[in-house]
Amino acid sequence: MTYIATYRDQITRIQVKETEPNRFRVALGDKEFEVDFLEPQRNILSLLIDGRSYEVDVDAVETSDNFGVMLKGDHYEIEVVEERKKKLALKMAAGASGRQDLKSPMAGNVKTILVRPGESVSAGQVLLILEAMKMQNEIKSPIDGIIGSVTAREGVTVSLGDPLCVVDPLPQ
Amino acid sequence: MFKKILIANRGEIAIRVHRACCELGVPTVAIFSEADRAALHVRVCDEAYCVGPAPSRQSYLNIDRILEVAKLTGADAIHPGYGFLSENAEFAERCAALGITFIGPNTKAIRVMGNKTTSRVAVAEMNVPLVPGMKENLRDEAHAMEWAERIGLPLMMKAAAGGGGKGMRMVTRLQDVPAAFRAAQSEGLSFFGDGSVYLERYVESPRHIEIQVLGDKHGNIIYFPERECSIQRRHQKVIEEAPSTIVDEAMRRAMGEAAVKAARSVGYDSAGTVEFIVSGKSREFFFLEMNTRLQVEHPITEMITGVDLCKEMIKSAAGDPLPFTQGDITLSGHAIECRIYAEDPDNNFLPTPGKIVGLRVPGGPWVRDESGMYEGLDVPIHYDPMLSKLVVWGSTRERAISRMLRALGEYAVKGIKTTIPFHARVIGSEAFAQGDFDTHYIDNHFRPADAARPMPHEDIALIAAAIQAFRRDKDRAQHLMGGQPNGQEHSAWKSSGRVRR
Repeated sequence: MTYIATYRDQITRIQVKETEPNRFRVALGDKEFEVDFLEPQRNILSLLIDGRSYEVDVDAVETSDNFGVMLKGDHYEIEVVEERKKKLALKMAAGASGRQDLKSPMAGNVKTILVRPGESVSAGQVLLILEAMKMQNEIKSPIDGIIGSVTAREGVTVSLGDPLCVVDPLPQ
Repeated sequence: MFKKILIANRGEIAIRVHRACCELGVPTVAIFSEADRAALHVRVCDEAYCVGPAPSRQSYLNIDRILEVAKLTGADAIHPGYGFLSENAEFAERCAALGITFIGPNTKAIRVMGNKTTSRVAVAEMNVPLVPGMKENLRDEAHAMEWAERIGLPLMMKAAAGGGGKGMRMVTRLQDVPAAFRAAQSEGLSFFGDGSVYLERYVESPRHIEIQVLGDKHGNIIYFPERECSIQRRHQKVIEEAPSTIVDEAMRRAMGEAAVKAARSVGYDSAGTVEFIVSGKSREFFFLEMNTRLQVEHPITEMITGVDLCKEMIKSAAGDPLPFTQGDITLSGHAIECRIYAEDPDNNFLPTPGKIVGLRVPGGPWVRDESGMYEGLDVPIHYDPMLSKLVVWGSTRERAISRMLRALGEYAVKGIKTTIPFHARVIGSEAFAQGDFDTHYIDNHFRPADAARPMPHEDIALIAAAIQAFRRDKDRAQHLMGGQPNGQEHSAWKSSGRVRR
């Protein structure tokens, strides 16, 4: 299988082949790795590569292609999409409008909503304020545009990834 | 000694107080909000009562309800922990009116030290050094200009009721004085309901070093060796150590004696902390404020002196005289504390409430985990993001550092992101090893470098993610064909709670 991995806007083509049970040959760009694989505990992987031992904690986000990888104290957010699916998605994205669906970056309480549907906003403008654990966090508009809809409600709790509001790009 | 103690707090400090009570043979009463029914402190205490809905104002700050529970359970003392009602003079007075002992200092001490202006006046009378500045509040912008010229630049404009970095403005040019005055005044009003503002000199290469004091109801007050708390992020302490690398024996005694004088100015009769700002350049120290409670970072003092501060605080509230004199307090080795927060260090320290689906706690010699966590706990969104405090002791600073690095490496919290890896990078940094930092170190120097750090294991992370994607796709394909997936059995360590919403 061939995958396209995206990490920090950097794209890598990865080929994965299971040569025998729990043995993988992985080609990363032009580098090749033989991987001795074990999942001793759910989502905790033990990888032996060239005699080196790595304990890797992988969080798979269901219904998405995102993986949160924790390895030697560093966290990596990686999107891994099958190559054909990725090509299709890129085509779709090119044809789509620049509509921005803003999702909650964290679990929290919607403290204040500063905009209303139909209002025009500029990039960087604060749209709403989320509060969690005594910390207030501003949600800003990524583009110049017009507020399409506001799903968030003041005083209502949201989870990570919940839709907050939609910003439509300005008509050309 | 008391018959029963109500602990008016939550999380790790409620458990810390319970442990002290337990060793003293005193039963405990926990209080909890509706969001904290599953919290660990509710399970460890002998009795537990709900005091209201999730928001603190309706529960952990709900004086009427907490006092009702105290009466109902027959508790004859209340330990407030830190935060919440710990420095609330009205609460202390209402406890006294009901014949319940507030485990803390006399109310005059709370009132005087709770305000920056009155505390400065009180300690100045005892000749405790203050940062050059005013002992009164500013009247208006013109008054601010006049004082700014008199004290000299750089300056700090401060709200009298401020704290935690709120209501403070640094001023480097005289023409910025009026704007800073207005800003500090409005922040003081909105955050603390008090628009009083004053000016003082800005101390260069500032270090935050504090002295623990302990007093009893018989007029005895002693001091402990200092705690170095300069590793801060946005004015909040992150890592503390004891002793400080820049304090020698003579300076330790001078700071300790100044702290005792400050405590004497209000007849201090409990555990408390006198905070000083110290110039990293001149080593001059100046009184900053006094915290009239048990501090978050009290364990590092316990580790280097062998004194159980929490227990001594309770005994002193019960009227016992201090069981030791100043000469009995000796310093041994070095201790470090890391505050573990539910925050994502790689995403601007956004809070990360959620379910802890796996937990492995560090152990081994001289490692202490002060925690309110357990596997399966859902960390609520309503309160402070501190999950635990990891404390280590070593016979030297170098040994304490390597022990802390080892313990952080063992500490595994699964399901939510924490600041554990960030701590490991700070403790492992060259500047920390050298003791070369001030209160701006994290925000101005460490974090920019940290964000740009190389990720040496990126290839391995990509391989792991790709293999997991491959196995998932294979499972799905087999599932569609009616076969058995190759996935493993679910274990208790990783349950379906793992799936992120």
